[in-house]
Amino acid sequence: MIGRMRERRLKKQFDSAGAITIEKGTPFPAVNNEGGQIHAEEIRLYPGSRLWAHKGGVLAIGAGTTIGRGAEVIAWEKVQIGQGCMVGWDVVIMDTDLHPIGDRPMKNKPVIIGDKVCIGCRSIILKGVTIGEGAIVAAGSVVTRDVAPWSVVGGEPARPVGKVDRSAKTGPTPAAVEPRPAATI
Amino acid sequence: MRNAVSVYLERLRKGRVYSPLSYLLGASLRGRFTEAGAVAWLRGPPVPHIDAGQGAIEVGDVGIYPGVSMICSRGGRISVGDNTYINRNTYLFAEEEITDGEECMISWDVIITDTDGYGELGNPGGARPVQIGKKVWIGSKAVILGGAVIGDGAVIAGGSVVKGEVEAGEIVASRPAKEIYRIDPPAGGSTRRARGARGAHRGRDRS
Repeated sequence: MIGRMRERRLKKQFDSAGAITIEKGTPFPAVNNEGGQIHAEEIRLYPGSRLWAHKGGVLAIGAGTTIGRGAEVIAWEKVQIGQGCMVGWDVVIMDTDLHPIGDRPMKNKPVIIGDKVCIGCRSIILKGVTIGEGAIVAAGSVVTRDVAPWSVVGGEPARPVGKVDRSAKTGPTPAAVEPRPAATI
Repeated sequence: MRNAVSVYLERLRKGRVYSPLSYLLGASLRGRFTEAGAVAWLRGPPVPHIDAGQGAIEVGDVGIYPGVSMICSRGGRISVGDNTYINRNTYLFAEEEITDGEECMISWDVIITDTDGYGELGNPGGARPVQIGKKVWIGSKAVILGGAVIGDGAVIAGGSVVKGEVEAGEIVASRPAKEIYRIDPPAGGSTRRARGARGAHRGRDRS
């Protein structure tokens, strides 16, 4: 029953939402809407993930996207994640510095992530970054600049390390292969 | 079933032991493993998340700290050797096979996975087994990815990302992990080990 209440409270945080699947495990995903907008289509949230839209921020996630365990998406201006993306474990995506640094005023720049992008675990996507369709971000990279479509980037700061074989990538099918039961709200 | 009391007494003689309460709590986790030795759950929330699913999780006499996850998907297998401990919030996710040797020390917030997940997008990335040898020390927040083979006595520095092969006795760091120093294998004895440690210090000064 507590689970149901949590799910209902989580659902209320979205401005528009499709079927949201919440995987088993603790901690329960957190969705903080502090006066912004959170739009999500059919997405999958793993335990410990967190979506945060600050006042005036827009957070939009496309259909078939998976937000991995412990991943955080922070939108103070605009964060847009495309369809069929996979956001890995403990990834941080933020479009803001969260606070002024020294004398410099705080900056927010929108983050746009295209369709079918894979983001490896423990990566950090910083403000003002546009990631093209089908790109792969290697595990542990810090992305500070734009990423071309169908390329592989890695390292700190992330640099191109290869190309994606486009012929091999057939498209998003995450729902078809999921073996474990999960609650859908 | 292994006798947890005899293991406890044996370890008490060696001077390395978890509290009796930890073994008692660890016994409550036994049902979630496919096969388990004397498991100690070092008490505290969150409860370890152990989900064998269609696969198998085999552990020896291990110490499990709060918040550890061991999850098998699509018939994956996880096996952990004796006297290994797995620290807080470490995440093991197997789609094929993860083998962890004896007397390993796995620090907190480590991610060990044999799949890069691209398989779900139809990419031929898929799962490749992870093998971890004996007496391996993995630093906190390290990431061990599919296909990693870590030799006996290797040390993985905190925060590194390991993708390929790490030879026995190597110390690796950075993303992706590169060799920064090599220690003698554990069989070399204490004096040789001490010399290795001094050498590591000199190497750092030069750079």
